[in-house]
Amino acid sequence: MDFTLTETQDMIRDTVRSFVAGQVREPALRWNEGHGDAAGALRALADMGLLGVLAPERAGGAELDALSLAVMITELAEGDAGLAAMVAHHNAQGLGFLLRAGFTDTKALRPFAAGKQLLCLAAAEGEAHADAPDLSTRATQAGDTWRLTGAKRLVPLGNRASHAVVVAATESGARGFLVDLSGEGVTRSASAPLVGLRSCDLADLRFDDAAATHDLGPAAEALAHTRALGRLCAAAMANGVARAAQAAGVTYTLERKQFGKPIARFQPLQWQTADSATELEAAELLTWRAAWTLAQGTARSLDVEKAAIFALETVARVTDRALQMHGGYGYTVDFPVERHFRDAATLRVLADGTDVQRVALARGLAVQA
Amino acid sequence: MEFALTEIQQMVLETARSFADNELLPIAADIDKTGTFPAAQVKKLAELGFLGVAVDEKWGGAGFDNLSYAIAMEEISRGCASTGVIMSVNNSLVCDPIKRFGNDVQKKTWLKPLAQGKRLGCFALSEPGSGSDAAGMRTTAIRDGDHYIVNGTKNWITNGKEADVCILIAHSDPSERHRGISAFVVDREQTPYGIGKVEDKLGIKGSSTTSLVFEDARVPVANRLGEEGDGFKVAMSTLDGGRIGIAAQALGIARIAFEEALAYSRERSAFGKVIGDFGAIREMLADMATEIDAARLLIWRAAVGKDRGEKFGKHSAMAKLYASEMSARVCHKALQIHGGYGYVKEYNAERHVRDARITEIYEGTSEIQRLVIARETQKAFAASHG
Repeated sequence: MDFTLTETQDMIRDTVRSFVAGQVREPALRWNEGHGDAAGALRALADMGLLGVLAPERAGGAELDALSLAVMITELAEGDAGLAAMVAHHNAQGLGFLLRAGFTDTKALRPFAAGKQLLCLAAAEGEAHADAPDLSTRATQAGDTWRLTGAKRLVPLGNRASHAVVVAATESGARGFLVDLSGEGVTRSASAPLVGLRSCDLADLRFDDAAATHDLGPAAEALAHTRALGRLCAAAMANGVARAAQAAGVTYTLERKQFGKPIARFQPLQWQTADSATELEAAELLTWRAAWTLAQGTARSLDVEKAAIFALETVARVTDRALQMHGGYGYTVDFPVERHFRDAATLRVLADGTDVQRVALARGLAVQA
Repeated sequence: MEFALTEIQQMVLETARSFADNELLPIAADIDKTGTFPAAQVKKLAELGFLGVAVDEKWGGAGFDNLSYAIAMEEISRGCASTGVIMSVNNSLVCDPIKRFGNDVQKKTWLKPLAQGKRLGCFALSEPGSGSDAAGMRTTAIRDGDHYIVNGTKNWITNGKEADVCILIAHSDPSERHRGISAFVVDREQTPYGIGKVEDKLGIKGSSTTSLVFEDARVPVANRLGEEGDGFKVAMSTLDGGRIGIAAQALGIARIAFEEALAYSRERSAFGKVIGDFGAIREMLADMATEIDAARLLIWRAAVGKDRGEKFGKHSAMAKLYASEMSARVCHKALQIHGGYGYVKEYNAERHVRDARITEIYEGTSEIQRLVIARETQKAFAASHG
């Protein structure tokens, strides 16, 4: 049992932490108000080699494990959850699917692993779960080429990505396809904004007889893998947002005075501080353990669901307390906690949402019983 | 980051688990019903080395680390919460301070038989009018030549009836507050003292809780732990470690409550399916399983901190706060899942609720843990934000 980071993980954390302090924290305020965007930050992260975290070195990736990914995502989310969501999506969903599906075309992989081009995963639809039999997006084979028709909603990086992994129904079940988004038959439009994660690029994609560049094979196993990574990243993001909110809240209570003393000296504020600190600590431990379990390649365990449920419930409570610590000021856009609060609400419905995660966990428990 | 147990830790886990399965689970309900001290089980714990888990073999212990201790505490408490607290007090509150503050003679005289389980210890800090506010205690130990003369009453002493060695915290200089406190090993064979009221409690009924009465009791100077005036430090650092033990006890209680509720939910049917397949029960079980793991990681984090010689007070306070409140929630839900059967003594669910409740109170209430955590957290933010 060792709760310390390895040298590499430590280095990643420090690198990302100073990047966030210098190039994310302050501009994030504007990105989230629709002024400018995180394009420059994404390019900088690509230059740092952090957009191909899980990809093999031979394809230009960093070939790190899920724990390094989680550490990095938490740090980014502490600065801006929307940026973290995009980075997590490219690494763990787009590339995550491609790698798990056994995509070995190194030449095609290289621009994604280097972050020169962004890759999104267009799996879920408005009504259907990604791996459900009732996907409305269909793929049919015409000669050597697969052609896709259908629509996907709220795809992260949908506007910026050069390519998408699209999951579509075929006669033999759901398959994954690599699609060039600048190709014919693809239209993309910005999704209606969410309550939080405002700096995250989200698009609705339409495919009208669009040609796939690669057939990635049956989707089920790769989807199960990206789902686990998605839950891990949601937990890691939640911890970053919670940390930012707790820092803002506690710092405010140390500065704000009422009745002649800092409000940090009042027990109700101390209680909130202690509860948030404790739950946040537990959320991080569960998240790290889930990442470690994934990195071990251990057969399906329930660690990822536990981490996601706990971290996502924790971020809701921690951001709520942090807002309350600020009193009326917390409700204004002059302080960052209202954004953390909105980001938390949005995170909770990511990765299937905590209710579906609980069902998955309970099913697993019943099998073990 | 490494979440696997070592071979020794794994062995401790398996030994403790099978002991709990075979020797504790079958008798736990009876221990509770009759309020009997589980003497035979405690004797077997001694044979396993579980009464001095983290004490060097040289001094009669098992020679394992504090993580192993936390693991063993969880498993033993899963079997029987009363046995768990008896074990926790002897390890955390009695062996540990002698191990850290005692000289070799004291270790040979008391630590060895205590760690071997030949004798049993108790820890006397609280009084009728003072608990975590240690400096508010009234018991005095006034130097008189080669002895200290002790007067006062200690309260809420776990193992008070059976123990024959007592770690006593008392004012050696009543004119001072914290700095006037000293710690002693009081040997009942050497220094007779009285057992006062034996409490009748809501739960953990197999362990005794008594008051101890000292009337001009003469304790040799050689029995003092550390220097005169070190008592506050001895007491507070001992409680930091004790919180790991109680947190693990709370976790063990939650574990058995959860296991029984999960099993019940797979057996009991309503409206044509087992109740475990209804969304509401599923949600409860998913949250219980998640929070159990959260508590365990907090406890292990604190135990590893202690093993590494790091400052672990905040981590052990977090572990104790979270695990105890988690245990109360989990046991409450476990009872609820049993419906009416949860409220009757034929099932164990009501016992777990009663046993879990104490963990939010002793060795520092939840309120005290929150004060500790808030103070440490605020200090860290004040430092980093200048």
